[in-house]
Parts: sequence; C-alpha cells; structure tokens
Amino acid sequence: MRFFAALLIAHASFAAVTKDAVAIRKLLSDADVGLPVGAVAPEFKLKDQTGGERDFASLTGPHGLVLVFFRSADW
Amino acid sequence: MYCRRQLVQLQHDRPSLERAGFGLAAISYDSAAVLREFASRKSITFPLLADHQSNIIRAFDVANRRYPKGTLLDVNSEQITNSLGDVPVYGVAYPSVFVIDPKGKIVWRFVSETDELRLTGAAILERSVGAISSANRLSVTKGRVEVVVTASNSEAGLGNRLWLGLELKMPPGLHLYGPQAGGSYHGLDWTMDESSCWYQSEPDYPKPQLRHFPFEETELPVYQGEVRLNRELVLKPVLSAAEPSLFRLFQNVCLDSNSRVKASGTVSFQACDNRQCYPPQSVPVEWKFRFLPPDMQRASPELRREFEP
Repeated sequence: MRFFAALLIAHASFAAVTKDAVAIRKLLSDADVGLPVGAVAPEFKLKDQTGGERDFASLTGPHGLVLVFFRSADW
Repeated sequence: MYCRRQLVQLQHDRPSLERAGFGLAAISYDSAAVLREFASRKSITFPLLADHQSNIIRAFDVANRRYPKGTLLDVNSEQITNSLGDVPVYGVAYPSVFVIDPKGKIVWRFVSETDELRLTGAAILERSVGAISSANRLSVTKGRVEVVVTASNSEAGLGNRLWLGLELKMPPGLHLYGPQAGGSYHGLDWTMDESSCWYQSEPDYPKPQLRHFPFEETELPVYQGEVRLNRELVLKPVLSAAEPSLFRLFQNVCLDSNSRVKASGTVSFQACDNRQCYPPQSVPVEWKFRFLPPDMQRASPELRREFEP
C-alpha cells in the first residue's frame, strides 16, 4: 500500500511541471553571473589529466576554444 | 553525475567541434588525480583541467554562489546538510560554457544556475556559431513545402539540452504567413506534444518580411524561400535520491523497446502564391534519441575531496 502511495506521488511529480512556460523559461535561461560576451577571457595555466600544463594557446583551435566548466567528475 | 554524462557526450561531439575549428577543454575544482581516474575509466582524451583552488572558476565569475565557505553537500540528495562525510562544495562551478575566439575574447557564453542541465557539444556549436548538425535529420514534403527536421544530437541522457530545428523550404513564388498574421490566416505554428519526459522552450521564429497584397489593406508577415525555426528540448533530469522511483518511471514511460526517447509535435502552416492559397497543413514531426544511461560511479574513496583548499 505504502509502495503504491509513493508511486502515486512520484507519478504526480513526474507528470506535472512541463506546462508552466514561465518556470521553464527561468529554468533554461542564461544566468546573470559569469563574464559577459565581449570580455577578455582570464589567462590560465592548469594541469590536465595527464599531468601536463595547459594554457589557452595550447588548447585553442583556428576558430577558438570551447571552454566548459563542470561541477565534478567525482560526485 | 550529470557532469560525467556531459563529459562523455563532449568526447563524442569533439570531432564536430574540431571540424568546425574549435578546441575543447573542460575545467572543474577536482584534483588532477580525480580527473585522471575518470578520464581513464571513460576514455576521455580532450583536456580536463584541474582548478583545485577554484582560481580560474572565480576569474570567470562562475563559482556557485549558493555554496559559501564551509558548505558540505550530500551528493546523493544534492542537499546542503553539512554532515560528516559530505563533500566540500565551496568553489564548485556553475555548469557553464564559454566560446573564446583565438584572440582571447569571449564570443558566446551560457551559465546555468540549474545544476542538472547540460548543453551537448553539438548544441553549443549550433547555438554559438550556427553550425547545424546532420546527426539527426529527416525530410518530408507537404503542400509543396519541404519540412526538414533536425536535432543537435542523435543520443541523449538525462538533463541533456538538445537543440531542435525545423527548416521549411518553399519553391519560388510561394510564401507562408508568419505566426503574427492573425485573422483568418494560418500563420506558421510549431507545437510540441505534452510529455512527462522532456521540457521544451518556446520556438524562435525568425523575423518575417512584411509584404503588401492587393486583397489586404495592411502589410502581412510572410516567409519566402527557406525559414529555420529552433527550440530547446531537455530530457527531464529525474535522478532523485528522495524519489528513486522517478527514474524507473522515466524508463517505463519514456523509453521504447530499443531504449530510445521519442519527442513529437506538429508544425502547421498554409502555403500561398500570388493567385491562390493551398489547403492548410498540419505536419507531424518527431525526433528520436538513443538513451544514454546515467553514470553513477564516483571517484575512488581515497581520491575524493575531503578538505577545503
């Protein structure tokens, strides 16, 4: 019985959400933090997974660099 | 865990980024040892950079403001509990992307305060420089108009932000009315079916031309030649320690027998030339994505972050 009640609640929260266009717009929006377009990217020199030091010049391609910040590869 | 999936997907999309002339690197507050172990386990060959002191994360102003010094996070529930054994998260980055030109100037950026959502490499490429992926492309012709369905990716995991496209191609002399046309005109309209499996943004309609017709006093918004619409589609990030049944529900409801997620909708329009209008069309459109299951494996215990640098 408790299992079915939990499943019902899960079903409800699973089925909800999608219709609220304003909430979705906020969820998907570009946040008001971080350097803006037009700013000069800060210089960096960091170790990569092989232990080698990398800076912008060693990473960029002819048209530039896609630099991704992520939370963690551990958790 | 959403990050690990994103890194694998970036590795997958790396050839497209390189073909478009872009280098690829990813930064986190992890130690080089954590990155080495993960890269080796998942065969990641693009550079993962260890910003263990979060200096570069702060220089780009993307350190998560919800986590002040001393914050400990229960990584299963994603709640701040400050309990023994939880992970120090001061200095962790918001999921962010910066596209930097060869001279070092930022030319495109996206920072997400929503922790679970991640852009794919191909979506970054389409949204930043308009390089349209051919990974997931279908075409159908209705009422003399060719409708081409595109998507940034053909594979997707939970929380992935995919970039959908619809191209409508008209022969010379034909036009479609823009969504603003109103009245009895069947303006271009792209709707998505309701689903518990994904979120979607509103579509971007390009600016139509304004044209004068002898039968109407005011000018009418029209598209001619080719018009491309885009919208974002996000597979719901349903991993939840509090409600583990959500992921099972997602699997039961959203995946077909070949482990694919299908997203569907309708594009409606009416094509006209200078003499007549053809019957209004409603064309069903759909996208299929091979589902990439989440990677739940953490770093080895001895490598995990225990201190706040």
